[in-house]
Amino acid sequence: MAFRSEFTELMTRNLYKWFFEKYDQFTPVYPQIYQVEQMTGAYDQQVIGVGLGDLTERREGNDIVADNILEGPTAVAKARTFSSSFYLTMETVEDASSDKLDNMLRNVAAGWGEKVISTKEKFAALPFNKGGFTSGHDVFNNTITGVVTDPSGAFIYTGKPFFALTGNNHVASDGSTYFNSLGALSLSGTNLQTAYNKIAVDNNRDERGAMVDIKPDSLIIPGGLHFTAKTILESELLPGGANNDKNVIKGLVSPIEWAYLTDADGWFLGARKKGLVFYERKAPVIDFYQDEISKKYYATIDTRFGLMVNNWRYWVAANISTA
Amino acid sequence: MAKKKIELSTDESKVKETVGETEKTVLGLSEAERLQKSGWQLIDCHLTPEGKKYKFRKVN
Repeated sequence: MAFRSEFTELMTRNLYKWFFEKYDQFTPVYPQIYQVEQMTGAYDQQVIGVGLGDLTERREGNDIVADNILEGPTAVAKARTFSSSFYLTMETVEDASSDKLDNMLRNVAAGWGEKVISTKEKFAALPFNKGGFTSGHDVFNNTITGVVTDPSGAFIYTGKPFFALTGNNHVASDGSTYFNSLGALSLSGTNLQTAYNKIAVDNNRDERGAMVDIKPDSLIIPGGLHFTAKTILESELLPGGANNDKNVIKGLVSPIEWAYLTDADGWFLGARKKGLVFYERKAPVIDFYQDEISKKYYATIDTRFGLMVNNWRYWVAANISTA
Repeated sequence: MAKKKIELSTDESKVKETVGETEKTVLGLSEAERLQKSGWQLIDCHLTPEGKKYKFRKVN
């Protein structure tokens, strides 16, 4: 004779098995773009741009000049909870054959395997899809009421959209202003060079305005720009030219196609795993239990993760929406 | 002085422009890109049922 607790335990074990069979089949894009870290608490916060300036030359016998330690703004990331559930009536469970029940639950667990990945992908794509919004977006707001307050609210730590247009610039701690949304620029070789120089020549300054080495390595594109990107980055000679000029941007950066980008002609240039952190807080937890009042059998899944933009300088965007 | 607004139709059938003294709104990336490269500053871009609409401000 089988006890109910054994049945729910067995179902939980099976759901895990089927879940992970499917979970492993999908290769997400976000770990290529984000630095993935483990989070242990409810949130993580970083003070941006703490540091000192260059050393100064000291003449013989002179005193050492003291520098001021500069403390920049604070970036916060909270662990967000994502869940789903379904139930089966007691009668369904009692009347269904064990094979049929197995198949039904196998399909559900496999579906969760896909959905956990796609939920993370959609979430990780939000800073790109909503990063140009001039009114900000909830994905950047990491306030947990009563626990931690995100000082920049629905914006990144600069108090501006992740991708700030000229005229709505990021302001560094030294007062310098920068922008990293290039506006209405189609994806072309010339415009890719403009974007590259924006990162490597204009925005390569730290919070104190000192020069830093920043080089983009990835072009993030929606599926609709796949062939444009290949033409620009893989042609030996300059595409569209009649003079057989060398294509100087061949292989300059690697294209990463991301199905979760919603702007059909928006594109992004940046450095992989720089300036963006994806926090894994809790791996998916599956539970299967019977409610004592309704007698329904419930299966639930719960997982927690979050993200943070801790340096906008590694990224530029072109032709993205502002609302 | 009150802004004078006039409606223009352009050669490109897909492009609609509202021209004031300091702001322009256009539909379509090619026209938006042309405006930006001629010195106008993008202040708004959003998707509409007709396509992406771009609003520019004149920069002095």
